[in-house]
Amino acid sequence: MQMTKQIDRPGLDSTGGIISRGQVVTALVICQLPALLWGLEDSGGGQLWAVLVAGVLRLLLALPLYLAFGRGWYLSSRSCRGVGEGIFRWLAAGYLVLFVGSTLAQTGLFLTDTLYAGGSVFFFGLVLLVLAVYGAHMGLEAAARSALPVLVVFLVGLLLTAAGVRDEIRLIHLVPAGSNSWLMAGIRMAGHTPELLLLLMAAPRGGAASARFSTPLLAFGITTGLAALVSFLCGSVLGSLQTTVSYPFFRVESLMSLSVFRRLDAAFAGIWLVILLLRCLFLLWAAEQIVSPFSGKRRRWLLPFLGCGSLAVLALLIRRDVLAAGLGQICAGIWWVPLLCVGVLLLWRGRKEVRS
Amino acid sequence: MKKFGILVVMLSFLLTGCVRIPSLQDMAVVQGVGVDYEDGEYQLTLQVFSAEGSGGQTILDPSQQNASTITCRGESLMDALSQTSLSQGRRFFLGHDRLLVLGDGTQALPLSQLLKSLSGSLSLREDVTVVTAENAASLLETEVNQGLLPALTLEQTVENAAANGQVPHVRLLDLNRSLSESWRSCLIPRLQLTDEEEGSLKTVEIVGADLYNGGEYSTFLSESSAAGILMLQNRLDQLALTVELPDFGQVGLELYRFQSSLRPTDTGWKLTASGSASVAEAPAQLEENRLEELTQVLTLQLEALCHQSWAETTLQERDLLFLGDILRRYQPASWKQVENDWPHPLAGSSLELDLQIKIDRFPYE
Repeated sequence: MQMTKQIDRPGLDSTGGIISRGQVVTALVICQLPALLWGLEDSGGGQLWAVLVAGVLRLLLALPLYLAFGRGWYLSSRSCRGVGEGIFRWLAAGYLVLFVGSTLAQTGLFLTDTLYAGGSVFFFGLVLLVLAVYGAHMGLEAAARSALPVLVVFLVGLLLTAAGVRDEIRLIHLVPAGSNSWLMAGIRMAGHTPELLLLLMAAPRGGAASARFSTPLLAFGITTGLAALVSFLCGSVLGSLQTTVSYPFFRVESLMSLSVFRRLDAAFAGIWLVILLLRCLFLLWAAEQIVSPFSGKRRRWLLPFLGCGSLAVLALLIRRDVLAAGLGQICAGIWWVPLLCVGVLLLWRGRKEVRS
Repeated sequence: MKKFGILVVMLSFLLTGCVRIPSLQDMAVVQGVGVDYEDGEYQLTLQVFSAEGSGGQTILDPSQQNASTITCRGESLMDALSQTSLSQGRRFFLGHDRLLVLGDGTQALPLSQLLKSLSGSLSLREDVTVVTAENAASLLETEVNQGLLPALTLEQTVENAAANGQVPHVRLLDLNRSLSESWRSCLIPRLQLTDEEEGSLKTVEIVGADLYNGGEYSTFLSESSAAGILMLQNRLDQLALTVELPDFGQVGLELYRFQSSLRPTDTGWKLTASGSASVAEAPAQLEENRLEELTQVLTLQLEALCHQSWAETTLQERDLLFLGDILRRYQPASWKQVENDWPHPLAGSSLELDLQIKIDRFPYE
């Protein structure tokens, strides 16, 4: 049994290395940052409550995963036991590919909206996808190492922004929580969590239960804290304007003025671009790991295959109206997919292992 | 083969010089944008940076304008902009724009629509300073005898006036923020050109602010009214005042560290404010009993200023003070009742004042 656990470690079988708990936390935080750029869910007031609800829900979603880990039920990236498991593996990979494709489309739109109006959304998405596929091919370890400085630079930028717009903060713009709409907004925020599947494949195994559970606790705690700060800044600086403009937090960043640091839109856009690239990379890596038992000797073609899937999603979502309406509906409708995949795959695996 | 592939990819980066890149010489760096509207036609004036020094260390000549203006007309802003591009022959770069001047002609247009058009066609930044003038083109074209760069000078003038409590410093963000709710009003500082006594040079001065109600031009407010608005909005940094003290003479005072908060009460609204004042100039040394009297006179003068501004805005059913937002925050139940009719319920509302002013600095200690 012990032997099986060691073989099942995801870092060993494909990338040749295992990332630490800290790196997993960093990867999870990086993956969730783009939601701050697109704009948090409109809750009709009480957005801070919605952010807190989403944080708690994400932690609850991760809890079964860690209970399974505690019992030694892991998902192997080498073998698949049965057709049922295979179906859920492809479902999970499809879910991740959908999110990679939508991230590519949103990145392309962000770049054409803010930096280069004449650019092609598809071209930007394609370039980002090629880089993400290459990065995922090079393995999780390198990407996880590069994620930490990116996160540090983002945090420095966030602090600079908070300090630079302090004079613009008007508490009166913060709309009080009226109805329970913030609860639903929090549930919708928590529903967009493909990172659960990344956690399934990348989380370090073994060690004390408390240490194991500290990974999602830290990751979702940091993300919730950052989301609360961004929500406060957007709400107090932009007021009701934040619900009508695109990329509200980027607007706040472009207003930042602190000594010689001002009008740094291009620098902030660059940081976001790297964050978006890392998100695509991590999700692609997780998708590859999940379906790798089916690849056999053609494993080298798996990432390009998943990349093509992402490209197809990008091509579908490339129009702004389709992205806004379609993706919202899709994500709202299939939020349960990662949860179901994680639950079924681990239960399946666990039951088979107990039998064996 | 792998090394060769990597080499090819790396060498391809050296080819970027073959792609046409925008050079600074090919770009017109816009510092100020002026919009006028007359007879159904837009007039767009762009003030473009144009160094008039001799190069090297003296690329900017302080005795020159260092700017040129381009003016074109069109039936829409986009049309005017395309005309401007044809006459200029350079690409416009608006990322460094500092100023947006709205001419009086634009008062006929809905402000929110105009700003949306400007944001769409010119991609103006949110931190651009916005002012109004009788004629935007004249303001941007006139040789101003202050500062190195005309647009920066105008921006600095507004910033200084805002720091001295004369008018608010309004940026595009402030306007968009105000216009995002239909009930809100907003102020835009008004600039005016005045002739110098000698020569053809002009001086820019601030004369007050234009008030827009629900995105439409409403009225002009004097400097003192604008200062009162700043007091009510808790945006006053400092304010110079002259107070007449009976049997003593005029005393020059500077109000500073002023903090105020406006809250709804059962009967109306209440402004609680505190601040400090310093005696800048006085005909003689103030005695203890006169100091108390001076404080009372100053407080009365500030109360009169607040009441005047309150009357000019709220009693005319204009929500310039974010009163709707304050009511929504502190009395949500009351807000629900008047939400659809806001700001009409403001018409009969009263203002109660609680000002605590302390004079703590003197020219003679």
